[in-house]
Amino acid sequence: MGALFLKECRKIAKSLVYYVYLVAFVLFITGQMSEVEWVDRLSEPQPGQESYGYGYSSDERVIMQSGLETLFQELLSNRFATYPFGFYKEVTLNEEEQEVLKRAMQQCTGMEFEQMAEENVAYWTEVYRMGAEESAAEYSEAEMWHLPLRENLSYEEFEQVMEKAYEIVGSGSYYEKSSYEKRGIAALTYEDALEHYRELCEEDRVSGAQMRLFCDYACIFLAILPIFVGVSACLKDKRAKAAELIRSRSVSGAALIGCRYLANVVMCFVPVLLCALLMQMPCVYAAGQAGIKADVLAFAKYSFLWLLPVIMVVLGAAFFLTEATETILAIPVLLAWAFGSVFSAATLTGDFGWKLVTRWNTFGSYGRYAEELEQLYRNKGMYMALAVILVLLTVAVYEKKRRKGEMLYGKLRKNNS
Amino acid sequence: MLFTEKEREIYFMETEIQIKGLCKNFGKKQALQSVDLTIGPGMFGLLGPNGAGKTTLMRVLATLLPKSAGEVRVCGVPVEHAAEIRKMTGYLPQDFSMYGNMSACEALDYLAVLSGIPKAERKKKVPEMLEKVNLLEQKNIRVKAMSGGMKRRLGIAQAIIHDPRVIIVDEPTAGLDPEERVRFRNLLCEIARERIVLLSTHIVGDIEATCEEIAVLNHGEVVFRGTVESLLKLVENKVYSAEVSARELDGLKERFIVTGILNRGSTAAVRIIAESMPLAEAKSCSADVEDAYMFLMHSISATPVQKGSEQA
Ligand SMILES: Nc1ncnc2c1ncn2[C@@H]1O[C@H](COP(=O)(O)OP(=O)(O)OP(=O)(O)O)[C@@H](O)[C@H]1O
Ligand SMILES: [Mg+2]
Repeated sequence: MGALFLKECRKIAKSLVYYVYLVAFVLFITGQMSEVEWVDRLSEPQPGQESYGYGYSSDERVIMQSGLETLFQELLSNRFATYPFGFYKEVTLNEEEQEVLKRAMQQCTGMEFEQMAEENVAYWTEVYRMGAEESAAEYSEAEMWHLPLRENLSYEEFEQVMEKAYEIVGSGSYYEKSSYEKRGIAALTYEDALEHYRELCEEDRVSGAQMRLFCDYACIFLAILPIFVGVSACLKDKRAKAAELIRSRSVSGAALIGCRYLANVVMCFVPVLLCALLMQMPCVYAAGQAGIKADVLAFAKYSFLWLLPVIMVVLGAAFFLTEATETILAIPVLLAWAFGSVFSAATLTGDFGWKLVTRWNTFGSYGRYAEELEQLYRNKGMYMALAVILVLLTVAVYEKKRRKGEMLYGKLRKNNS
Repeated sequence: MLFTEKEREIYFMETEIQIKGLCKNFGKKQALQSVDLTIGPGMFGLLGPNGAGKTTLMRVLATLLPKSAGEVRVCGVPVEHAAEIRKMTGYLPQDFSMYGNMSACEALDYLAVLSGIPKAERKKKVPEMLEKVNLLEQKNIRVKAMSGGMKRRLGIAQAIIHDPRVIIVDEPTAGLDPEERVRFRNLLCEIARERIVLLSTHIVGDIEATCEEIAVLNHGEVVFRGTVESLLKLVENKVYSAEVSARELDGLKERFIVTGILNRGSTAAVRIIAESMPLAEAKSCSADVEDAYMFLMHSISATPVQKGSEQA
């Protein structure tokens, strides 16, 4: 068993597809992981700073503000983004529906919708004029135009408005409770910034945040690149016209497919692990300089949790489809799955659900991550289990072909000639 | 695995392939029709024209094809027990091929691993086998860079490396040069002492030189089963040689089975199979397996006259 595993690893190491995989992965990931100004990132926020950046907030007032502003913007353009079944779909509303929502908004602000629109336009005109003259950065948070919410607007009232918008716009829209609750964006205060800094240093220990970002990008590539490695591994026997010879040996289908699969998983995963380690190094160093003790094992923790299950399930599916059809069908199918998963994401941070490509395109935000961690475990656990099932199915298909002496589907090998 | 005393006797003592009423259909095409054969230890030759079903029979024995009907036992084990059978058989496919970028040595080692040979033994066996098939000096050459004959030799090595009790080789000598062919025949004969070697071939010389027992297949049926001598008996006193003029040749081909023509200017030396003296000047000569095979094929399918008219 061990010998066969090593032999399979060698076979992979000698294949061209594998080198393409390595080069592509390294190029993509280095292209995405931009240089970081570690000094800026790791400096403690000081009171009296002009800005502390933006962040998600679970403050009800902030959620109301963000929710109604989104509704306001979408109403203005009458273009509502929805993601039913995870795929993007634009929704436009008829006059009547728009009127209902406009009236609901008026109740929240105590202002005519047209008046809000005018104020908004006036603000942006000013921004563009200033932007042309001076630097746009002059605009501090205080000057930014905000939808003027009624002072005594209650969260319940707000929820009713969102509920109504959800009914009209449809599922997968921003107005779903689970969606708008997580997307209150506000300028951070000094206290917020300090709390984020504490999270970064104590919970994430800097490298955790960095590795989450690494996994965010790596996950996308690893939903795609191993497809080719897996398909090529499975078609190798057929292409070398050695399939029959190999079937005639005494090795069991479980051992053969099992070793092949494991070899592919290991060969795909080890370079990823090394990449993660390398990319973690500057971060650990910078943290050390700033007097923070970074988590040196973050690269392994995150790679195993985020990336290994993806590699496993993609290879498992590639093995199964290729072994069952003896074609490259797995490539279009799995590409569609991967791209579907990437483009269907309504948010680039969290909301893992059952997505193949789990994303966290943010540096930090450990608090929110911790809240969604359970969901992530469920997602990754499910894909691991699915991978195992796919491999077992592949073994069954292989043994069946071996018994039948021909392909599972399609014509017999030779025709009468 | 544990066996009872009786099973041990059946599984390990018997060295015999028993085939009873074996049929194999590919859709409507009947590739094997009720084949009955018993094959004992030693070299066993399988002859037959293209498409006769030789490869099909061998693939059934090597568990690569399921049979449609009948009963097949290899050393007492029914072919349905594929795992058992694979352990004790070595198979050389007719179109042997391996991963192109592996060297001879690596390819052999890989296949040895697939037969579950432990590392220590492989280290010893791989060079030994390469030596046997005269590939040791070229052990680092890649499969894709090998000549047809070298590939075949590698194929032979992989079929015997795990020391199987039954060796099934499909046209192993096709594409080998005469020297290698002789070398290979001797190798197989050496191995065949306490094993079964089933070999198919179109090269009659191989059969003559090595096989005691043979079977001839035609259209999926066994049309002859016996020793080489009994095959030769079929044409005893029926082979003649004669010197004829080129003009006479066509007429001769229509009436008799002509197994050899050697042109000598205006005349030709011919070898003829006929029931009685075909020409006044013909001389009787000793028969070889090729003559017997030709005679057999003609007598079961068509008369020589019909064959002649087909060719015209
Ligand atoms: N997989 C298959 N599907 C359909 N028909 C097949 C298949 N394999 C073999 N046959 C048919 O079965 C018959 C026997 O073929 P087989 O390959 O056994 O002949 P053979 O005796 O080995 O011939 P050769 O001397 O050319 O190797 C042929 O008519 C062939 O067309
Ligand atoms: Mg054949």
